[in-house]
Amino acid sequence: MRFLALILSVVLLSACSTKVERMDSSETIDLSGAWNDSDSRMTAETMVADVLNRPWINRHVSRTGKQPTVIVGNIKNLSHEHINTNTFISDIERELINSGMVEFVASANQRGEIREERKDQDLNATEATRNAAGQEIGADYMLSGQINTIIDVDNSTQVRYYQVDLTLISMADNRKVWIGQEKIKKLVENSKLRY
Amino acid sequence: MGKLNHIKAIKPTVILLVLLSFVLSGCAASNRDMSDVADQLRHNLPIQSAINKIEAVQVESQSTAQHQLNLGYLQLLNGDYNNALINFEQAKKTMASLQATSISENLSSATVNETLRSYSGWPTDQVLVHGMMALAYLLKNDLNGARVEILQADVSMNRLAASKSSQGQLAFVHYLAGVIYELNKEYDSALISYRMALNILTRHNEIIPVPLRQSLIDLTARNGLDNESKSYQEKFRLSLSKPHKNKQFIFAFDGVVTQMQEAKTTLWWDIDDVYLSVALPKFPQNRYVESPFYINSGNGEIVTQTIESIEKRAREDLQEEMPKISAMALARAGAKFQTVKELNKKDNTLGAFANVLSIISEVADLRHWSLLPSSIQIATIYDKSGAINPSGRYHLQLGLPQGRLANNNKITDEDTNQVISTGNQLLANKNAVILLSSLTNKIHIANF
Repeated sequence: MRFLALILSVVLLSACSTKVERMDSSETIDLSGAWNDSDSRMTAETMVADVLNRPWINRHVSRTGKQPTVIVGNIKNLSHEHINTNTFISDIERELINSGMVEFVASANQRGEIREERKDQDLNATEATRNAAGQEIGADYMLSGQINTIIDVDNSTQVRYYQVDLTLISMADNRKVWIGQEKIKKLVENSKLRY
Repeated sequence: MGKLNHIKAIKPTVILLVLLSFVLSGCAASNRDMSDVADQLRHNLPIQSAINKIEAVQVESQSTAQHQLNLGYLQLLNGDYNNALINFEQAKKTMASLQATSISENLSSATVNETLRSYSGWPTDQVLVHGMMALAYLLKNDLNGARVEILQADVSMNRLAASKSSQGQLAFVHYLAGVIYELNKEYDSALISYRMALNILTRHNEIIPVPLRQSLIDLTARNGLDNESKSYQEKFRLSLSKPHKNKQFIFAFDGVVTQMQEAKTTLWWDIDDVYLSVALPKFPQNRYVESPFYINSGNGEIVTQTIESIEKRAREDLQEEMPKISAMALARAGAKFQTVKELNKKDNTLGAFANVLSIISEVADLRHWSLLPSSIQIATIYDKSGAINPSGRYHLQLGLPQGRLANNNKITDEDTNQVISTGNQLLANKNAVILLSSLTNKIHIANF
């Protein structure tokens, strides 16, 4: 009897202890049904694959003779969740840069810091290593968009629908050269009972 | 020897009762501590001292959400928006995770008392937490964050509307949603939210504050719904607002909501030598008298009007749940009666002990978001061209509700007008959200 009680105590205590398990960052784990790292990564991959396979790139190359330069603008979170759009933006940037098919320039926030550094170089760096102002590459296209959601709830069951809309706009004439849309739908069933 | 056997047989029940009485006394204590702070706030306890007191309260795991709601609210009033958001977010998650029915908590509430349940928030709390978070995000100048919260509030209100009459349907939250949409230039969504606020106030048969009336008239016209705008103009006896560049939306929290009390009845059942005890929560009579805020902005004096009476909503929440609470209390009294009767038969001493424990253990669950204001009031300043002084900035003058003593050295007339002038600035050519509270002289301003 005492032995059984001891085993039971050990089992109960082990259940209370903290457990950490390392896993592959590409592994998909859904806990609450909310937007997570997998949604961000997979949406970025799918949409970038789509944008790179559309005719606007070839048209740009044939017209100008060089690869298009892209900047990622604002991706607005209009969803029901506090989504960190920065991770989504960096996922898109990574995919676009790694494709090697487009040039990429720093965002508005990053540019400020770089310009400060350039000013500092003007004062403190040797002439041979100094980078002059006014040599920046202007972007040909801006990628911007928004994340929207529709949540339908019935007691403990939820349908969470996410729609990510991205638009690539020509900086020269405001033409929309690509519109991409990615949809994610999740059915979340919460337990009606708990201990 | 025979008596020893009796004791051995009874021991687990008694131990359980003793243990549970210890546990429940802790629960009641933390709620009492928070109610004490609410009473002291009514008597001019500075917000920072109230925060220190709430932080020092020893809270049991089943009351963490209540503690976080109270702490978050005080931090919001104190201008500590980041920590307010952290506490509100945790409370929100805790309340959401407690929506499933707990087997153990139902069992303990049926046998000991309701305080052993985890605090999952009253319907008003579950919705208002989003409203408070939206205000905190607004005051941090995070319009998108505020928008997320009002979308979540909408989901919460829809969920509650599907299951429970008008509980958790808050005109304030819909109005705030309208303001957020308006600031975000989503005028169609803003109009829908204002209409929802109007519907709720009409259903409650409550006065429709002028800022809401004016927004309905202006936004229907703006969205091209001229007939609807005219019908509102006739109904409210108001016309379209004069041309203005910007709007300042004022939210004001007045007072501290009345604390729940216990109504307890104990009956001596001499046939079986058993005490029957029933404890239920109740709100005392509503003696709250609304105290408006007065604002002088250069365009004349504006008076705030109530959009949400938390006093009424809290009482409605309790009223709606009373049949369930009463039924559980009676079932519990029956279970305790039976246990004590059985113990009495086996041993008189233990029976007497169990009698005392059954009376002590019968306590009402008085937990609620106890530091909420008694009412939430609103006003709107229409910033007409030329109203702002040449420096591009102007001062608000705010009159505190009568009866409040303020300790800010910027007060110019403590005894009569109780007018304060603040250093907080409203920027020219900007919309603004302003938060006032009768508990503090701080004026929270965010320009958009």
